[in-house]
Amino acid sequence: MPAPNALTPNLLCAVLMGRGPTPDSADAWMQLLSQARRANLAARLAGVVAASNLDVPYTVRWQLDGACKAQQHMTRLMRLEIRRVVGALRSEDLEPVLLKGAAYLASDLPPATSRHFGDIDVLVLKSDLASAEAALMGGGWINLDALPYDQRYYREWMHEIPPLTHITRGSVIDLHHTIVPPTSVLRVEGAELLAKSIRSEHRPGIRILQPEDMVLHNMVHLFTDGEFDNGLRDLLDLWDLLRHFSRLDGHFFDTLLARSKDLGLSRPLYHALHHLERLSGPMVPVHLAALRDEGRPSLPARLLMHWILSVGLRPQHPSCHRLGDGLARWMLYVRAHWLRMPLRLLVPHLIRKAWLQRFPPPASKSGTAA
Amino acid sequence: MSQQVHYALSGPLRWRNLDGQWLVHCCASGATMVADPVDAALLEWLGDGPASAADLALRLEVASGAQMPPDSQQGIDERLQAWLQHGWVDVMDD
Amino acid sequence: MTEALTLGKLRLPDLATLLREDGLLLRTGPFTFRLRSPHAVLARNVRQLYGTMPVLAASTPADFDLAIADGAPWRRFWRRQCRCEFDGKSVFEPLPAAHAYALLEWSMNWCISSHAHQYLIVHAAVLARGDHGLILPAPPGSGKSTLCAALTHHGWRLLSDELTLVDMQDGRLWPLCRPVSLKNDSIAVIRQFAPRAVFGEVTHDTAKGDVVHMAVPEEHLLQVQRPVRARWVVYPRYLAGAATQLVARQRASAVLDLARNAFNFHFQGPEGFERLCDLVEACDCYDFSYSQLSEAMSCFDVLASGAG
Repeated sequence: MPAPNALTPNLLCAVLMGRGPTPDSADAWMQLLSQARRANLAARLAGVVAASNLDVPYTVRWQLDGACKAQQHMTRLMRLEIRRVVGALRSEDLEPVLLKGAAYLASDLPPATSRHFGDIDVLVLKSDLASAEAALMGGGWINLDALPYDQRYYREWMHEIPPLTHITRGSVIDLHHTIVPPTSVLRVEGAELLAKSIRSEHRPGIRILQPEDMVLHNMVHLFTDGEFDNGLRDLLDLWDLLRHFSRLDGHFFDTLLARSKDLGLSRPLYHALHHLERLSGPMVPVHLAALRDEGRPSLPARLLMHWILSVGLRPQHPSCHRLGDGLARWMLYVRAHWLRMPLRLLVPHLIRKAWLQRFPPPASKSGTAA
Repeated sequence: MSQQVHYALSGPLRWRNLDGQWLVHCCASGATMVADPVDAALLEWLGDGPASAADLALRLEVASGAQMPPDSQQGIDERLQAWLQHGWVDVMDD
Repeated sequence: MTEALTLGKLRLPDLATLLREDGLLLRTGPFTFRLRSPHAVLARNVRQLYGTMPVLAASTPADFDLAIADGAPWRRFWRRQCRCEFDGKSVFEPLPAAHAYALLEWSMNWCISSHAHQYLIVHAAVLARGDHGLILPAPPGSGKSTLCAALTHHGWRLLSDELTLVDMQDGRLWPLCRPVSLKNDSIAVIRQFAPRAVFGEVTHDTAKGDVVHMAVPEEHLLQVQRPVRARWVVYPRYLAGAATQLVARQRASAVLDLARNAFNFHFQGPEGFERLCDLVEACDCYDFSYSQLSEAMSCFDVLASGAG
């Protein structure tokens, strides 16, 4: 839709971080709301509006209230599902570690307050993957990907378990054995993360990653993901986590940077912090700047990554669109797969995906109502 | 045996009576149903605390003042299993 | 200007330009839509079916910005498509361009039922006699739309043929007053039953067959801001050759059924349950079977006179 004022593409992020300026007309507010909905951040916007007592037009206010109701419902369901997943895995004597959204909710971390939840991500030992999958299938979560190609994609090439969907409730579980794509150049041993995992204070039966690993996982995801529908949401989660953990522990950043070096994740850390600080202002203590910059790539790579990730972290909304965005997003997508897949597999995969998007099979679920 | 598993309500319940029939709503899962007298009794007792199918069968026998048929515990267990699927109850950790 | 400008008084090219460019503002009950579309069939039907609605100032704040846009660019001149765009993305699969107006009505319903959670929204027709509301929940094929269209022309005020809006604050039912959609055989039946009814153009070959929309009588639109309290919940079923019959129905089962047929029952939490129970508690609930429309009307007259 045509912009009534020239809203900058990063206005939503600025408003959500309290760095304003807030929209000055009903139309501008409505457009901001539309961006927020597209980025799965409507409930978060509602929280910021309430907390800062912002003056919003009635047309926007009632929709923010509606978004909160929807989000509360999602949270209720998510809590139930987490209990059921943990229960199902316990039947095989497995004690999984929850990741991302499920972890934030289970441990009442700040990102959970108004977050749009998606799949439930669970981490187990590589040697436990088979029994974990069996336990989940026993609980009603099955692999809906009927196509042999997709099975091979996940299991043989990516060394991952395909997402498991519950037959009646529709909740989706992603089983992982490490926090990086198993075939990527980054190598992190899942066992190392599990060994350092901790019990959630609020729910003793549930395990989560230790704080620095949780933050690094978020950063890795930002760095290696190809689809950025939730890019801004995940960046804001990162902002919440860093502020929360550094408030509890004055040396948190030191611990974080040391751990990222140990795990070989200095590059994702660099990019994540670069973009976060671009939008939020400085966060890393000055004495750690040199250590952070160890992950900095060469200038050409740095410029390219700066551009494509900047695009990726904006809402995918027409009012945020700038010339070249399509190319940037395509590059993000290809890059993410290049990071995960050997080249000999990547090209045929990309061709196949483009074909399926243009000519979807009859039972496709693309474009159905949200 | 599954009858030794203990169940607890997953959250508070809301009750309404319309024309002598009990409607009950689970706040944790949003599930709603018409509860027959047995359902109503079982849910109320689960509200007192976690219980197994055996516990509930015993309470039912005491409350009804009559000998329960031999498969009543199994019937209760089936009901609990169905309620577990719909989010009315959770399984307690042993 | 002595008389307010209405949509029907705009010249069609001017309306089409408005739809193509800045957008047409349309208020339906509690909601204001800003509509954009390049499709001529949509412009014609909007002018015909919303003709008595006032033309709103361009500065009016809109609740929903909705576009019924073109489909894929390479289909623009051969088998042209239309698609619903909201928040910058397509909501449904594209449809043939000839279905653009029908898609508009479905999309407007989608906007409301997906976002307006200040209401508990039930998939049911709702009408009123005096201050008493009649709710007609029914699955497709039950004859609900035919009954709704007939009642609209038989002394019942139309609130909506699809979405019953129950105010979560106080349980009152709020009107939308949008055109009634009719399918296939119903079209001829209602044309005969209500010769003065205004219809749009028939859309052929939709997923539901032939579809046409019937305009809301102007006197109903004048009362669009007047809510009512629910008094009857009637489950209609058309059965060829059946006797007209109204049979009392258990209230508890009606609560479960309405919950199942609500778009956003689960979003409302326990308050939704209480609100629905309150509503049904104050209503008489019936199952209704019929085959003769005129007999059905008499039956509803009797029902209304018993309200007191």
